[in-house]
Amino acid sequence: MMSIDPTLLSALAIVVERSMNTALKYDPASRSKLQAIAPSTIAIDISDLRCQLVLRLQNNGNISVALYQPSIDSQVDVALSQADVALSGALTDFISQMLSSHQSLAHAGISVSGKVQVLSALKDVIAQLDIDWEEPLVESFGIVPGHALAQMLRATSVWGKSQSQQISQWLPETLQEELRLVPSAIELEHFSRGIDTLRAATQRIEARTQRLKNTLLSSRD
Amino acid sequence: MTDDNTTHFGYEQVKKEEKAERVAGVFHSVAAKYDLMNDLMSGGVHRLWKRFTIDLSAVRAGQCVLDIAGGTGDLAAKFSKIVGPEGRVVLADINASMLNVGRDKLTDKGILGNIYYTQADAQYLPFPDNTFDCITIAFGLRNVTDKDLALQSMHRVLKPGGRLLILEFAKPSNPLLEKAYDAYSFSLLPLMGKLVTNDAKSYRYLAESIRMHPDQNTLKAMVLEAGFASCDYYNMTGGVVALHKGIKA
Repeated sequence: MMSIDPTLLSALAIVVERSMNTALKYDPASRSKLQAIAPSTIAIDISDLRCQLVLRLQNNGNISVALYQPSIDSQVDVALSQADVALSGALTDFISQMLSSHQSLAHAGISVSGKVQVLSALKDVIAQLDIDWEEPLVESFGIVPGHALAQMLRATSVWGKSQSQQISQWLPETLQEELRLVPSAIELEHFSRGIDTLRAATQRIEARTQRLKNTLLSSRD
Repeated sequence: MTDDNTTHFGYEQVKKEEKAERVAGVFHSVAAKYDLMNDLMSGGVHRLWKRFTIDLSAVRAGQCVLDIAGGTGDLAAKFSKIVGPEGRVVLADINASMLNVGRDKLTDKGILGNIYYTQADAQYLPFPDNTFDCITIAFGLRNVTDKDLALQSMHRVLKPGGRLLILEFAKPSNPLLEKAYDAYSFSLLPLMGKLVTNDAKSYRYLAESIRMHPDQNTLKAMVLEAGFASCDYYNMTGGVVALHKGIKA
């Protein structure tokens, strides 16, 4: 894979770092939880992109971010080996794990080494992240418009969540029962039993045919 | 360098003992608007180059860092936060005007306590042997009269296992980019210098001094010749800038 210009890596690192620290600025509770596990270093090896992301949790609650390309620098490898937690996996595995509601990394395609309690604490912080969006909106637009906009965003978010829950409830039923696009579990099971029966019958016929052939051949001899 | 007693000052050949004074004149002239011009000339990209330098330095809390030709203190400010109260950052520059601007800037930002300012020549660093965990020199090496002497001096004051990071303009890897870069350097930079600082000559020197600086592989060989156990370099922005990293055994 082509090496990425370090200028781009630095730009990306700055964007990620500023986004994280801005989000933490508006969630002081999460920030103080991060301070409890600081200083810590978390190294994430994104194997398919051949890229390593290093997060350093600082004592003041901020996070510093660095992006490297692996094995271009032995000092980087040394620093990574000294990380408190090291994770390795493909980008799609990391994204799936972030979107998944499962907390466990088992069968996620991600390998972990180091102080797992730091990782658990970090996962708790991410899961309980509660950014007060009203504050930046008020800073940008003023108290009254900012508050109104924040209320609108909250209402939209609540509506979106309820819609998402309803869709996950009625969609399987609609696809199976009304549109008949997808068979139900019982129908699938019945079908596969029929296949098994057919397979067994075919094997028996094959065996009998073979026996008859053998009899015919032996009688000619 | 051609004759025994002459060296280059941009495209001009000058006596070695005159180069430092000529360079000093350039930086006395540009010191006041140095940061503004850096942002204008590079479109702010110099911050990304310096960010990569800091990331690759692997400096940690409690360590001791020397920033040579640190001028207005961009790198020193970041290192000060990383090394913390237990660590130490020395900002060294041969030019008093640049050092004053740097000291005033950092002090005004409240960056003090673990940072020290020294007017020093990179060729004759006034520090004991094996003092620093990391030495950086950003866009300063090309202005040094005797680069080999400076590299040997840096090697001496580094601790065993210490890192030397040289961030400097280099030779672009793409011929098309090189042509565009030449046009930009020799036409636009002096014009910007004239408009912003009323000093086109200093920015012409900047463009010329970049062309006279050794290319990436030559500088790597010089670093190894100075006694470093290993040296790698990383091209940035198509090779317009390169970061050399040397490790002392």
